Amino acid sequence: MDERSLMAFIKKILLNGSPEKAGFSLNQLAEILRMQHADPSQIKLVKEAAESAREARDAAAKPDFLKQDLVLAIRASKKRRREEELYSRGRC
Amino acid sequence: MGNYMDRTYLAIDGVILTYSGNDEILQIPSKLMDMDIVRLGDGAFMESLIEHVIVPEGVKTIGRRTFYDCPRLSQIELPGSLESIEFWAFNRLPMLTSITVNDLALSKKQFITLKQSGIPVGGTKYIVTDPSPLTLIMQIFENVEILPAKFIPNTISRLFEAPDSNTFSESASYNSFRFGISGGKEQTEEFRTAISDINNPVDPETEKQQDELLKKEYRADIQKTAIIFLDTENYSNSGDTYYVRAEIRFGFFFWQTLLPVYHERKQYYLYRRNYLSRNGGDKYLRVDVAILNDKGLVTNREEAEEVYAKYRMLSLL
Repeated sequence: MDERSLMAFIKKILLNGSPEKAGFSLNQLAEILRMQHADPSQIKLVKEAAESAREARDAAAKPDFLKQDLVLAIRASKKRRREEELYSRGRC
Repeated sequence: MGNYMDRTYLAIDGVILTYSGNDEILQIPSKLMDMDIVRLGDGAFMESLIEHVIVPEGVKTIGRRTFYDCPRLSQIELPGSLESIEFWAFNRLPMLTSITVNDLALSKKQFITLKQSGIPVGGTKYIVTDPSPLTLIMQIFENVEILPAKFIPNTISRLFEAPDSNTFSESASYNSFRFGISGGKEQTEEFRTAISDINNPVDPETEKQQDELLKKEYRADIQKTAIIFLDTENYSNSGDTYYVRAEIRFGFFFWQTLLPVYHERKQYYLYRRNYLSRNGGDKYLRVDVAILNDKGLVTNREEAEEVYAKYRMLSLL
């Protein structure tokens, strides 16, 4: 799938419902891409978007939602999750 | 197969990924452009406000949490093409009142599994129009109504043979059979429980009390739901025991019943073992029927089939 189409699909999924719902649909998309033998980087992007649905949704709400926006959102999400994990372990 | 996106649906390769509509009554399309829909994807209709959904013919699988948390969904119609329903596909549906399954074009191997589909407790009525040779594994909740006559299978593809097991043995008396079964850990444990009770048949009074307890606790009519389908897939062909299995997910209990049947001037006993067990968090009722004569288990297949046909005709279940 070309990048433009993929980003359009990811955007539609992210903006349609809760982050939880988006996560399920994105994981389903990743599975379809895997079965299509798509580029592994695309599959990875979609899976990471699924894990980062909360931040990715905010990014997808912008009119021009590009791959770099999604990548930034994923990074932000990873950072948040890392901090949350540290906090829960009492190191913060 | 292609991609499809409009305001309402997003689909890829026959899989609906998302639904964004506001329909109260939703007839899911069987095709989007030229793409046949074969799967409703994970979470695709999750949290939607639909009240009545019709899944089209051609759909083979309903994915995980597909209709999860739909607060107004009360009626679901499923097609005969359906082969599986995945984990929590119908979980958290507080308004659900009926699921209708239409047997339109089934092969012997097709089945619907509501295993772990998470259909909620409370007021769910299952209406299966003509299940045979459909095989269902269902969770039974209160107010379940299943029309009994239609659920005695018309096309038993075969009587099941007990899997090979070194614990299988028989004695001269019908009430001291032991069954063993190979298979998963849960199955082995269930049958260990079953084995101890087989050697101690329940007296009619205790059985009646157990019946009442079951009915009270689960509010379902065991007699009517005892056979809904045949599970043809789970056991290997080996050993000499012939019995028919029917499986319904139900609860946690165990009792047994022995039904006499006369066929061609001989008396047979249909040993029906009903037990409810919890398997990894899921509850189910399993009914095994063994056909016995005064010498023990009937292992002649033809004879067993004849007796079973007779007992079915008598609607002893």
